Amino acid sequence: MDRIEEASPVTEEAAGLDFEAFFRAEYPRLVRTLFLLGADPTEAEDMAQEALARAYERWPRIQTMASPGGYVFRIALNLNRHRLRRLATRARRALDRERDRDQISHAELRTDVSRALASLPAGQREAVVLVEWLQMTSEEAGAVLRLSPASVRSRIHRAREVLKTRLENLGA
Amino acid sequence: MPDLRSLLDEEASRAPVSPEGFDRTLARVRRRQRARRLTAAGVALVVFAAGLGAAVGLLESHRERPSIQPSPTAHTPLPNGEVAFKCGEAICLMRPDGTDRRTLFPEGASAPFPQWDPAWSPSGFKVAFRGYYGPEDGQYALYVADVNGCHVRRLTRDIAAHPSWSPEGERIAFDTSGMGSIYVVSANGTGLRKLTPREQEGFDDEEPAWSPDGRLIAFDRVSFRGPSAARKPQIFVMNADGTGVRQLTRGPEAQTGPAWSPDGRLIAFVSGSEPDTRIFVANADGTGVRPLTPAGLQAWSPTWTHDGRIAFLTRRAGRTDLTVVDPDGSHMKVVAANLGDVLQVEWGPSTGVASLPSSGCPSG
Repeated sequence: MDRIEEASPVTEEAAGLDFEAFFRAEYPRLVRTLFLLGADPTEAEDMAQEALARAYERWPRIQTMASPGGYVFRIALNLNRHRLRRLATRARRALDRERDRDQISHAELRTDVSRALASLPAGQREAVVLVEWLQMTSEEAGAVLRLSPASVRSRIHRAREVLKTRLENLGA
Repeated sequence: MPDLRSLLDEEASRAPVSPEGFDRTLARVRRRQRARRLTAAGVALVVFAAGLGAAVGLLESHRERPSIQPSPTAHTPLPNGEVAFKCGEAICLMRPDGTDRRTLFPEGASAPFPQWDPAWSPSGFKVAFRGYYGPEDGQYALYVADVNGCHVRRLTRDIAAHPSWSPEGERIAFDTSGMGSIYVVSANGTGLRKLTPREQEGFDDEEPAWSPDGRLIAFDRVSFRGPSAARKPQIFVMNADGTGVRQLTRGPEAQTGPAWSPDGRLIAFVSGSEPDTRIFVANADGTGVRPLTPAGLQAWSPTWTHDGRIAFLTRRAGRTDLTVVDPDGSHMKVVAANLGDVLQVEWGPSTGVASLPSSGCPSG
Protein backbone atom coordinates (compact mmCIF):
# COMPACT_ATOMS: atom_id res chain seq x y z
CA MET A 1 0.00 0.00 0.00
CA ASP A 2 1.34 3.36 -0.92
CA ARG A 3 1.30 6.16 1.55
CA ILE A 4 1.28 9.90 1.57
CA GLU A 5 4.71 11.22 2.35
CA GLU A 6 4.80 14.32 4.43
CA ALA A 7 6.72 17.36 3.41
CA SER A 8 7.77 20.42 5.27
CA PRO A 9 4.86 22.68 4.31
CA VAL A 10 7.03 25.72 3.83
CA THR A 11 10.76 25.79 3.42
CA GLU A 12 12.60 28.28 5.58
CA GLU A 13 13.72 30.06 2.45
CA ALA A 14 10.18 30.32 1.16
CA ALA A 15 8.75 31.52 4.44
CA GLY A 16 11.56 33.96 4.99
CA LEU A 17 11.22 37.06 7.06
CA ASP A 18 8.12 38.23 5.23
CA PHE A 19 5.99 36.00 7.37
CA GLU A 20 7.56 37.20 10.60
CA ALA A 21 6.86 40.82 9.66
CA PHE A 22 3.31 39.84 8.78
CA PHE A 23 2.97 38.00 12.08
CA ARG A 24 4.24 40.93 14.14
CA ALA A 25 1.76 43.25 12.44
CA GLU A 26 -1.29 41.03 12.68
CA TYR A 27 -0.92 39.03 15.88
CA PRO A 28 -1.84 41.71 18.46
CA ARG A 29 -4.82 42.81 16.37
CA LEU A 30 -5.99 39.24 15.99
CA VAL A 31 -5.70 38.47 19.70
CA ARG A 32 -7.58 41.60 20.69
CA THR A 33 -10.23 41.11 18.03
CA LEU A 34 -10.92 37.61 19.31
CA PHE A 35 -10.99 38.91 22.88
CA LEU A 36 -13.59 41.50 21.88
CA LEU A 37 -15.55 38.71 20.24
CA GLY A 38 -15.88 36.98 23.59
CA ALA A 39 -12.89 34.66 23.83
CA ASP A 40 -10.96 34.63 27.08
CA PRO A 41 -7.31 35.78 26.81
CA THR A 42 -5.95 32.23 26.56
CA GLU A 43 -8.47 31.23 23.92
CA ALA A 44 -7.84 34.43 21.99
CA GLU A 45 -4.10 33.79 21.80
CA ASP A 46 -4.66 30.13 20.98
CA MET A 47 -6.97 30.95 18.06
CA ALA A 48 -4.72 33.75 16.80
CA GLN A 49 -1.74 31.38 16.82
CA GLU A 50 -3.77 28.70 15.08
CA ALA A 51 -4.91 31.12 12.36
CA LEU A 52 -1.36 32.31 11.78
CA ALA A 53 0.03 28.76 11.87
CA ARG A 54 -2.37 27.85 9.07
CA ALA A 55 -1.27 30.92 7.16
CA TYR A 56 2.39 29.98 7.67
CA GLU A 57 1.79 26.52 6.21
CA ARG A 58 0.42 28.07 3.04
CA TRP A 59 2.47 31.24 3.07
CA PRO A 60 3.84 31.04 -0.50
CA ARG A 61 0.28 31.19 -1.79
CA ILE A 62 -1.15 33.51 0.82
CA GLN A 63 1.52 36.14 0.36
CA THR A 64 0.42 36.48 -3.26
CA MET A 65 -3.16 37.32 -2.20
CA ALA A 66 -4.48 40.84 -2.43
CA SER A 67 -5.16 40.83 1.31
CA PRO A 68 -3.25 38.22 3.35
CA GLY A 69 -4.50 39.97 6.48
CA GLY A 70 -8.11 39.54 5.40
CA TYR A 71 -7.45 35.85 4.80
CA VAL A 72 -6.07 35.38 8.30
CA PHE A 73 -8.93 37.28 9.88
CA ARG A 74 -11.37 35.02 8.01
CA ILE A 75 -9.63 31.96 9.46
CA ALA A 76 -9.66 33.47 12.93
CA LEU A 77 -13.35 34.38 12.75
CA ASN A 78 -14.17 30.87 11.54
CA LEU A 79 -12.23 29.41 14.47
CA ASN A 80 -14.19 31.67 16.79
CA ARG A 81 -17.47 30.57 15.23
CA HIS A 82 -16.49 26.96 15.80
CA ARG A 83 -15.67 27.82 19.39
CA LEU A 84 -19.10 29.39 19.85
CA ARG A 85 -20.75 26.40 18.23
CA ARG A 86 -18.91 24.03 20.55
CA LEU A 87 -19.92 26.08 23.56
CA ALA A 88 -23.53 26.18 22.40
CA THR A 89 -23.56 22.43 21.91
CA ARG A 90 -22.04 21.85 25.31
CA ALA A 91 -24.51 24.18 26.96
CA ARG A 92 -27.43 22.54 25.23
CA ARG A 93 -26.39 19.05 26.17
CA ALA A 94 -25.06 20.04 29.59
CA LEU A 95 -22.22 17.61 29.11
CA ASP A 96 -19.54 19.74 30.65
CA ARG A 97 -20.73 21.43 33.77
CA GLU A 98 -17.23 22.36 34.85
CA ARG A 99 -16.70 24.20 31.60
CA ASP A 100 -20.00 26.01 32.03
CA ARG A 101 -18.91 27.14 35.47
CA ASP A 102 -15.63 28.37 34.01
CA GLN A 103 -17.54 30.35 31.43
CA ILE A 104 -19.74 31.86 34.10
CA SER A 105 -16.79 32.87 36.26
CA HIS A 106 -15.07 34.26 33.19
CA ALA A 107 -18.22 36.25 32.37
CA GLU A 108 -18.18 37.73 35.85
CA LEU A 109 -14.79 39.24 35.10
CA ARG A 110 -16.09 41.00 32.03
CA THR A 111 -16.62 44.74 31.88
CA ASP A 112 -19.81 46.55 30.99
CA VAL A 113 -18.49 47.09 27.47
CA SER A 114 -17.77 43.43 27.13
CA ARG A 115 -21.23 42.49 28.38
CA ALA A 116 -22.83 44.96 25.99
CA LEU A 117 -20.86 43.44 23.11
CA ALA A 118 -21.82 39.95 24.23
CA SER A 119 -25.47 40.90 24.04
CA LEU A 120 -25.17 41.45 20.30
CA PRO A 121 -25.85 38.67 17.78
CA ALA A 122 -22.54 37.17 16.68
CA GLY A 123 -22.74 38.69 13.20
CA GLN A 124 -23.30 42.21 14.53
CA ARG A 125 -20.50 41.78 17.05
CA GLU A 126 -18.07 40.79 14.30
CA ALA A 127 -19.10 43.76 12.17
CA VAL A 128 -18.71 46.20 15.08
CA VAL A 129 -15.26 44.95 16.01
CA LEU A 130 -13.98 44.99 12.45
CA VAL A 131 -15.37 48.40 11.56
CA GLU A 132 -15.49 50.33 14.82
CA TRP A 133 -12.35 49.01 16.43
CA LEU A 134 -10.13 47.82 13.57
CA GLN A 135 -11.35 50.74 11.47
CA MET A 136 -11.92 48.59 8.40
CA THR A 137 -14.12 50.06 5.72
CA SER A 138 -17.43 48.31 5.17
CA GLU A 139 -15.92 46.97 1.93
CA GLU A 140 -12.92 45.49 3.76
CA ALA A 141 -15.09 44.06 6.52
CA GLY A 142 -17.47 42.67 3.91
CA ALA A 143 -14.58 40.83 2.25
CA VAL A 144 -13.63 39.24 5.58
CA LEU A 145 -17.20 38.41 6.57
CA ARG A 146 -18.28 37.52 3.02
CA LEU A 147 -21.06 40.08 3.19
CA SER A 148 -21.96 43.01 1.00
CA PRO A 149 -20.80 46.42 2.27
CA ALA A 150 -24.46 47.35 2.62
CA SER A 151 -25.06 44.36 4.88
CA VAL A 152 -22.07 45.34 7.00
CA ARG A 153 -23.38 48.89 7.31
CA SER A 154 -26.81 47.57 8.23
CA ARG A 155 -25.35 45.39 10.97
CA ILE A 156 -23.28 48.27 12.28
CA HIS A 157 -26.32 50.51 12.40
CA ARG A 158 -28.37 47.99 14.35
CA ALA A 159 -25.48 47.18 16.66
CA ARG A 160 -24.84 50.83 17.47
CA GLU A 161 -28.45 51.28 18.52
CA VAL A 162 -28.28 48.30 20.86
CA LEU A 163 -24.90 49.27 22.28
CA LYS A 164 -25.98 52.83 22.88
CA THR A 165 -29.00 51.72 24.87
CA ARG A 166 -27.15 49.09 26.83
CA LEU A 167 -24.14 51.21 27.67
CA GLU A 168 -26.32 54.11 28.77
CA ASN A 169 -28.31 51.77 30.98
CA LEU A 170 -25.10 50.38 32.39
CA GLY A 171 -23.79 53.89 32.97
CA ALA A 172 -20.68 53.40 30.90
CA MET B 1 -21.39 57.88 26.57
CA PRO B 2 -17.75 58.01 25.34
CA ASP B 3 -17.32 57.21 21.69
CA LEU B 4 -17.52 53.55 20.80
CA ARG B 5 -13.99 53.23 19.51
CA SER B 6 -12.52 54.54 22.74
CA LEU B 7 -14.55 52.04 24.72
CA LEU B 8 -13.46 49.22 22.44
CA ASP B 9 -9.84 50.36 22.63
CA GLU B 10 -9.97 50.30 26.39
CA GLU B 11 -11.62 46.91 26.43
CA ALA B 12 -9.19 45.45 23.87
CA SER B 13 -6.20 46.67 25.85
CA ARG B 14 -7.24 44.28 28.62
CA ALA B 15 -6.22 41.34 26.44
CA PRO B 16 -2.60 40.41 27.11
CA VAL B 17 -0.52 39.72 24.00
CA SER B 18 2.23 37.26 24.69
CA PRO B 19 5.67 38.19 23.31
CA GLU B 20 6.24 34.48 22.74
CA GLY B 21 3.36 34.30 20.27
CA PHE B 22 5.60 33.98 17.22
CA ASP B 23 7.73 31.20 18.70
CA ARG B 24 4.66 29.38 19.94
CA THR B 25 3.09 29.57 16.51
CA LEU B 26 6.16 28.13 14.82
CA ALA B 27 6.33 25.44 17.49
CA ARG B 28 2.72 24.62 16.72
CA VAL B 29 3.55 24.22 13.04
CA ARG B 30 6.53 21.97 13.86
CA ARG B 31 4.42 19.82 16.19
CA ARG B 32 1.87 19.42 13.45
CA GLN B 33 4.54 18.49 10.92
CA ARG B 34 5.96 15.89 13.30
CA ALA B 35 2.49 14.47 13.94
CA ARG B 36 1.85 14.23 10.22
CA ARG B 37 5.16 12.50 9.64
CA LEU B 38 4.32 9.98 12.35
CA THR B 39 0.92 9.43 10.83
CA ALA B 40 2.43 9.02 7.40
CA ALA B 41 4.90 6.51 8.77
CA GLY B 42 2.01 4.23 9.67
CA VAL B 43 -0.71 3.07 7.43
CA ALA B 44 -1.60 6.05 5.28
CA LEU B 45 -4.69 4.77 3.61
CA VAL B 46 -7.90 3.48 5.14
CA VAL B 47 -10.46 1.58 3.17
CA PHE B 48 -13.76 1.78 4.92
CA ALA B 49 -15.43 -1.01 3.10
CA ALA B 50 -14.35 -3.39 5.83
CA GLY B 51 -15.10 -6.99 5.06
CA LEU B 52 -15.65 -6.43 1.40
CA GLY B 53 -11.95 -6.73 0.56
CA ALA B 54 -10.58 -6.81 -2.89
CA ALA B 55 -13.88 -7.93 -4.34
CA VAL B 56 -15.20 -4.43 -3.76
CA GLY B 57 -12.65 -2.99 -6.13
CA LEU B 58 -13.50 -5.43 -8.84
CA LEU B 59 -17.20 -4.86 -8.44
CA GLU B 60 -17.08 -1.11 -7.83
CA SER B 61 -17.79 0.10 -11.32
CA HIS B 62 -20.73 -2.28 -11.59
CA ARG B 63 -22.02 -1.41 -8.13
CA GLU B 64 -22.15 2.33 -8.53
CA ARG B 65 -25.45 2.64 -10.31
CA PRO B 66 -27.53 0.14 -8.30
CA SER B 67 -26.32 1.61 -4.99
CA ILE B 68 -29.01 4.28 -5.26
CA GLN B 69 -32.35 2.68 -4.80
CA PRO B 70 -35.13 3.85 -7.09
CA SER B 71 -37.72 6.09 -5.55
CA PRO B 72 -41.07 6.78 -7.16
CA THR B 73 -41.08 10.28 -5.74
CA ALA B 74 -37.68 11.74 -6.28
CA HIS B 75 -35.50 9.52 -8.46
CA THR B 76 -35.98 11.80 -11.42
CA PRO B 77 -33.57 11.93 -14.35
CA LEU B 78 -32.43 15.47 -15.00
CA PRO B 79 -31.51 16.03 -18.64
CA ASN B 80 -29.86 19.32 -17.71
CA GLY B 81 -27.87 17.78 -14.90
CA GLU B 82 -27.56 19.16 -11.42
CA VAL B 83 -25.16 21.57 -9.79
CA ALA B 84 -23.19 20.80 -6.65
CA PHE B 85 -21.92 23.72 -4.64
CA LYS B 86 -20.52 24.65 -1.28
CA CYS B 87 -23.22 26.40 0.72
CA GLY B 88 -21.97 27.66 4.04
CA GLU B 89 -20.17 24.72 5.64
CA ALA B 90 -21.98 21.99 3.69
CA ILE B 91 -22.28 20.71 0.14
CA CYS B 92 -25.61 21.44 -1.50
CA LEU B 93 -27.25 20.36 -4.73
CA MET B 94 -29.70 22.20 -6.93
CA ARG B 95 -31.05 22.33 -10.44
CA PRO B 96 -29.11 24.70 -12.69
CA ASP B 97 -31.83 27.34 -12.40
CA GLY B 98 -31.39 27.43 -8.63
CA THR B 99 -34.52 25.45 -7.76
CA ASP B 100 -34.78 22.25 -5.70
CA ARG B 101 -31.91 23.36 -3.48
CA ARG B 102 -30.97 20.93 -0.73
CA THR B 103 -27.98 19.66 1.22
CA LEU B 104 -26.15 16.55 0.05
CA PHE B 105 -26.58 15.04 3.49
CA PRO B 106 -29.92 15.27 5.27
CA GLU B 107 -30.15 16.97 8.64
CA GLY B 108 -28.67 14.78 11.35
CA ALA B 109 -26.92 12.43 8.92
CA SER B 110 -23.63 10.94 10.00
CA ALA B 111 -21.29 12.73 7.63
CA PRO B 112 -17.99 14.60 7.94
CA PHE B 113 -18.43 18.32 8.53
CA PRO B 114 -17.59 20.91 7.24
CA GLN B 115 -17.57 19.79 3.63
CA TRP B 116 -15.63 21.32 0.73
CA ASP B 117 -14.62 20.71 -2.89
CA PRO B 118 -17.55 18.77 -4.40
CA ALA B 119 -16.75 16.72 -7.52
CA TRP B 120 -19.32 14.71 -9.46
CA SER B 121 -18.53 11.21 -10.62
CA PRO B 122 -18.91 10.91 -14.41
CA SER B 123 -22.08 8.89 -13.94
CA GLY B 124 -23.62 11.59 -11.77
CA PHE B 125 -24.42 9.05 -9.07
CA LYS B 126 -21.62 9.90 -6.65
CA VAL B 127 -19.97 12.99 -5.25
CA ALA B 128 -16.37 13.10 -4.00
CA PHE B 129 -15.54 15.82 -1.53
CA ARG B 130 -13.20 16.98 1.23
CA GLY B 131 -14.68 16.41 4.66
CA TYR B 132 -13.54 17.10 8.21
CA TYR B 133 -13.50 14.05 10.46
CA GLY B 134 -12.33 16.10 13.45
CA PRO B 135 -12.40 19.67 14.71
CA GLU B 136 -8.69 20.41 14.44
CA ASP B 137 -6.71 21.86 11.59
CA GLY B 138 -5.76 19.28 9.00
CA GLN B 139 -8.33 16.75 10.17
CA TYR B 140 -9.85 16.33 6.75
CA ALA B 141 -9.71 13.63 4.13
CA LEU B 142 -11.20 12.58 0.81
CA TYR B 143 -14.71 11.12 0.93
CA VAL B 144 -17.16 9.74 -1.60
CA ALA B 145 -20.93 9.51 -1.11
CA ASP B 146 -23.89 8.59 -3.23
CA VAL B 147 -25.73 11.61 -4.53
CA ASN B 148 -28.58 10.90 -2.10
CA GLY B 149 -26.17 11.25 0.83
CA CYS B 150 -25.91 7.49 1.44
CA HIS B 151 -22.87 5.20 1.48
CA VAL B 152 -20.37 7.75 2.75
CA ARG B 153 -16.89 6.32 2.42
CA ARG B 154 -13.56 7.80 3.49
CA LEU B 155 -10.87 7.13 0.90
CA THR B 156 -7.73 8.60 2.44
CA ARG B 157 -6.38 8.78 5.91
CA ASP B 158 -4.39 11.95 5.33
CA ILE B 159 -5.13 15.43 4.12
CA ALA B 160 -6.77 15.45 0.69
CA ALA B 161 -8.58 18.17 -1.24
CA HIS B 162 -9.87 19.18 -4.67
CA PRO B 163 -10.86 15.76 -6.05
CA SER B 164 -11.29 15.22 -9.79
CA TRP B 165 -12.66 11.98 -11.24
CA SER B 166 -11.11 10.15 -14.15
CA PRO B 167 -13.57 9.98 -17.05
CA GLU B 168 -14.22 6.27 -16.53
CA GLY B 169 -15.09 6.96 -12.89
CA GLU B 170 -12.61 4.47 -11.45
CA ARG B 171 -9.92 6.84 -10.14
CA ILE B 172 -9.80 10.20 -8.38
CA ALA B 173 -6.97 12.72 -8.52
CA PHE B 174 -6.58 15.06 -5.56
CA ASP B 175 -4.09 17.41 -3.95
CA THR B 176 -2.72 17.55 -0.45
CA SER B 177 -4.01 21.06 0.16
CA GLY B 178 -0.90 23.15 0.36
CA MET B 179 1.34 20.20 1.22
CA GLY B 180 2.77 19.98 -2.26
CA SER B 181 1.70 16.98 -4.24
CA ILE B 182 -1.01 15.56 -6.46
CA TYR B 183 -2.08 11.97 -5.89
CA VAL B 184 -4.38 9.47 -7.54
CA VAL B 185 -6.44 6.87 -5.72
CA SER B 186 -9.00 4.35 -6.95
CA ALA B 187 -12.60 5.24 -6.23
CA ASN B 188 -12.69 2.33 -3.79
CA GLY B 189 -9.74 3.70 -1.81
CA THR B 190 -7.01 1.38 -3.08
CA GLY B 191 -3.91 2.02 -5.17
CA LEU B 192 -2.86 5.40 -3.81
CA ARG B 193 -0.11 6.86 -5.98
CA LYS B 194 1.80 10.14 -5.93
CA LEU B 195 2.05 11.93 -9.26
CA THR B 196 3.98 15.13 -8.56
CA PRO B 197 6.98 15.89 -6.34
CA ARG B 198 6.84 16.88 -2.74
CA GLU B 199 6.83 20.49 -1.70
CA GLN B 200 10.36 20.08 -0.38
CA GLU B 201 11.41 19.92 -4.00
CA GLY B 202 10.26 23.48 -4.45
CA PHE B 203 6.69 23.28 -5.75
CA ASP B 204 3.15 23.27 -4.45
CA ASP B 205 0.73 21.58 -6.86
CA GLU B 206 -3.02 21.91 -6.41
CA GLU B 207 -6.46 21.63 -8.01
CA PRO B 208 -6.00 18.71 -10.44
CA ALA B 209 -8.50 18.39 -13.28
CA TRP B 210 -8.68 15.20 -15.31
CA SER B 211 -9.08 15.68 -19.08
CA PRO B 212 -12.20 14.18 -20.69
CA ASP B 213 -10.14 11.63 -22.63
CA GLY B 214 -8.37 10.53 -19.45
CA ARG B 215 -4.88 11.09 -20.84
CA LEU B 216 -3.97 14.34 -19.09
CA ILE B 217 -4.32 16.08 -15.75
CA ALA B 218 -4.21 19.87 -15.56
CA PHE B 219 -3.30 21.52 -12.27
CA ASP B 220 -1.89 24.74 -10.85
CA ARG B 221 1.65 24.99 -9.52
CA VAL B 222 3.44 27.64 -7.49
CA SER B 223 7.21 27.56 -7.25
CA PHE B 224 8.94 28.61 -4.05
CA ARG B 225 12.07 29.56 -5.93
CA GLY B 226 12.91 33.04 -7.08
CA PRO B 227 11.68 36.37 -5.73
CA SER B 228 8.37 36.30 -3.87
CA ALA B 229 6.77 38.64 -6.42
CA ALA B 230 7.31 35.96 -9.05
CA ARG B 231 5.63 33.25 -6.99
CA LYS B 232 2.29 33.27 -8.77
CA PRO B 233 0.62 29.92 -9.42
CA GLN B 234 0.32 28.99 -13.11
CA ILE B 235 -1.56 26.28 -15.00
CA PHE B 236 0.40 23.15 -15.84
CA VAL B 237 -0.56 19.88 -17.48
CA MET B 238 0.91 16.37 -17.20
CA ASN B 239 0.19 12.92 -18.45
CA ALA B 240 -2.18 10.98 -16.20
CA ASP B 241 0.77 8.89 -14.95
CA GLY B 242 2.58 12.02 -13.73
CA THR B 243 5.12 12.21 -16.55
CA GLY B 244 5.56 14.98 -19.09
CA VAL B 245 4.81 18.00 -16.90
CA ARG B 246 4.62 21.17 -18.96
CA GLN B 247 3.58 24.75 -18.23
CA LEU B 248 0.56 26.13 -20.07
CA THR B 249 0.18 29.68 -18.78
CA ARG B 250 2.71 32.39 -17.96
CA GLY B 251 0.47 35.23 -16.88
CA PRO B 252 1.41 38.15 -14.65
CA GLU B 253 -1.39 37.20 -12.24
CA ALA B 254 -2.03 34.00 -10.29
CA GLN B 255 -3.69 31.42 -12.57
CA THR B 256 -5.54 28.67 -10.72
CA GLY B 257 -8.44 26.21 -10.80
CA PRO B 258 -8.23 24.68 -14.30
CA ALA B 259 -11.38 23.08 -15.76
CA TRP B 260 -11.48 21.15 -19.06
CA SER B 261 -14.16 21.66 -21.68
CA PRO B 262 -16.20 18.51 -22.40
CA ASP B 263 -14.40 18.09 -25.76
CA GLY B 264 -10.99 18.54 -24.15
CA ARG B 265 -10.00 21.40 -26.44
CA LEU B 266 -10.17 24.25 -23.94
CA ILE B 267 -9.22 24.89 -20.35
CA ALA B 268 -10.98 27.54 -18.28
CA PHE B 269 -9.25 28.92 -15.19
CA VAL B 270 -9.27 31.71 -12.63
CA SER B 271 -6.87 34.61 -13.11
CA GLY B 272 -6.01 37.10 -10.37
CA SER B 273 -6.16 37.26 -6.61
CA GLU B 274 -9.27 37.56 -4.52
CA PRO B 275 -11.35 39.68 -4.86
CA ASP B 276 -10.04 40.72 -8.30
CA THR B 277 -10.51 37.38 -10.02
CA ARG B 278 -11.64 36.80 -13.59
CA ILE B 279 -12.36 33.73 -15.69
CA PHE B 280 -9.99 33.07 -18.58
CA VAL B 281 -9.90 30.33 -21.17
CA ALA B 282 -6.99 28.87 -23.15
CA ASN B 283 -6.56 26.22 -25.78
CA ALA B 284 -5.44 22.90 -24.32
CA ASP B 285 -1.90 23.55 -25.60
CA GLY B 286 -1.73 26.86 -23.71
CA THR B 287 -2.21 29.11 -26.74
CA GLY B 288 -5.07 31.53 -27.24
CA VAL B 289 -5.36 32.75 -23.65
CA ARG B 290 -8.24 35.18 -23.40
CA PRO B 291 -10.51 36.64 -20.72
CA LEU B 292 -14.16 35.66 -20.57
CA THR B 293 -15.29 38.00 -17.83
CA PRO B 294 -14.73 41.74 -17.55
CA ALA B 295 -12.39 43.40 -15.07
CA GLY B 296 -14.27 44.58 -12.02
CA LEU B 297 -16.63 41.61 -11.92
CA GLN B 298 -15.44 39.14 -9.28
CA ALA B 299 -15.72 35.71 -10.91
CA TRP B 300 -14.37 32.35 -9.74
CA SER B 301 -14.90 28.55 -9.63
CA PRO B 302 -15.24 27.79 -13.36
CA THR B 303 -16.98 24.57 -14.36
CA TRP B 304 -18.25 23.45 -17.76
CA THR B 305 -21.83 22.63 -18.58
CA HIS B 306 -22.26 19.45 -20.58
CA ASP B 307 -23.33 21.49 -23.60
CA GLY B 308 -19.98 23.30 -23.66
CA ARG B 309 -20.59 26.58 -21.86
CA ILE B 310 -18.64 27.80 -18.87
CA ALA B 311 -20.43 28.30 -15.57
CA PHE B 312 -18.90 30.14 -12.64
CA LEU B 313 -19.77 32.17 -9.58
CA THR B 314 -19.90 35.95 -9.70
CA ARG B 315 -20.32 38.55 -7.00
CA ARG B 316 -22.10 41.81 -7.74
CA ALA B 317 -23.12 44.24 -5.03
CA GLY B 318 -22.67 41.57 -2.40
CA ARG B 319 -24.83 39.02 -4.24
CA THR B 320 -23.39 35.72 -5.41
CA ASP B 321 -24.86 34.40 -8.67
CA LEU B 322 -24.31 31.39 -10.91
CA THR B 323 -23.41 32.78 -14.30
CA VAL B 324 -22.77 31.08 -17.66
CA VAL B 325 -20.97 32.28 -20.76
CA ASP B 326 -20.08 30.83 -24.14
CA PRO B 327 -16.40 29.96 -24.71
CA ASP B 328 -16.07 32.98 -27.01
CA GLY B 329 -17.20 35.29 -24.20
CA SER B 330 -20.66 35.90 -25.63
CA HIS B 331 -24.10 35.33 -24.12
CA MET B 332 -23.10 35.85 -20.51
CA LYS B 333 -26.11 35.54 -18.26
CA VAL B 334 -27.04 34.76 -14.68
CA VAL B 335 -28.88 31.44 -14.45
CA ALA B 336 -29.34 31.30 -10.68
CA ALA B 337 -29.32 34.55 -8.73
CA ASN B 338 -28.55 35.48 -5.15
CA LEU B 339 -27.31 32.10 -3.99
CA GLY B 340 -26.14 33.35 -0.61
CA ASP B 341 -22.96 32.06 1.02
CA VAL B 342 -21.65 29.97 -1.89
CA LEU B 343 -17.92 29.50 -2.49
CA GLN B 344 -17.55 26.66 -4.99
CA VAL B 345 -19.68 25.19 -7.73
CA GLU B 346 -19.50 22.16 -10.02
CA TRP B 347 -21.90 21.37 -12.82
CA GLY B 348 -22.94 17.72 -12.86
CA PRO B 349 -23.25 15.39 -15.84
CA SER B 350 -26.52 15.21 -17.70
CA THR B 351 -27.19 11.72 -16.37
CA GLY B 352 -27.48 12.96 -12.80
CA VAL B 353 -30.45 12.19 -10.61
CA ALA B 354 -32.31 14.10 -7.99
CA SER B 355 -31.53 12.96 -4.48
CA LEU B 356 -33.60 10.37 -2.76
CA PRO B 357 -35.87 11.19 0.16
CA SER B 358 -34.05 11.55 3.44
CA SER B 359 -36.05 8.78 5.05
CA GLY B 360 -32.98 6.59 5.36
CA CYS B 361 -30.29 4.89 3.36
CA PRO B 362 -30.46 1.35 2.06
CA SER B 363 -28.13 -1.00 3.86
CA GLY B 364 -25.01 -2.35 2.23
